[in-house]
Amino acid sequence: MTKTSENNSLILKLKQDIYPLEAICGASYVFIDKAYIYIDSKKKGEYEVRIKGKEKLTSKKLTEIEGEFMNELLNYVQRLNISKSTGKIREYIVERALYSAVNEEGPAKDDDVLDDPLGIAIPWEEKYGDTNDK
Amino acid sequence: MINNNEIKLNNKIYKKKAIENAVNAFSELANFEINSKGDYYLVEVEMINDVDPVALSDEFTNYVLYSMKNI
Repeated sequence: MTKTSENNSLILKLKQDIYPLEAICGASYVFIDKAYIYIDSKKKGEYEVRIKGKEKLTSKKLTEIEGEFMNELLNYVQRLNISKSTGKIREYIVERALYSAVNEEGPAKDDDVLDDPLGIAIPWEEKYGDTNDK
Repeated sequence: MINNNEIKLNNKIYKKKAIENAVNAFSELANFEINSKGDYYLVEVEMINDVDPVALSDEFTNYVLYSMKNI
């Protein structure tokens, strides 16, 4: 990662093989209330992220924002990596859970809807009489 | 970034649908025309009122980014 800062903004140059676009967009999204974000790719294999303060920022504040952005970016990259590495097992768990649920209950029958073992399907008027009498 | 009333957005990064959403959202402030050239969408901006083009461009680009999340 390389960085330049000028005119209330800083430009981060990020390698595409380390930082996927999805992670950069995700991290940028977190910062859109604090700063103006512009992403470009002028050079092959590299993304350029310009972070411009919405208000006048000191160089210290810019450095802070840069640090926060890089942390958020790392968080997204890690999340994507975990999501990739556990994708198969997650699919398997959901599949297994759905399969078990169908097996336990069996397929739903139309007759089940008409069954009323607790007697809760009786209309109010039938059970308590006409309530309009006052 | 705006240059000569034109916002350049890389088409490998920004989705056209998101740009269209932003155009709709900012249509009261400016007239927009989306063109394509090479790797970029070129959004031509013609201000309707006394709007700062740089501020509009910054807000517009942020809106496109926000919109990408919901597409």
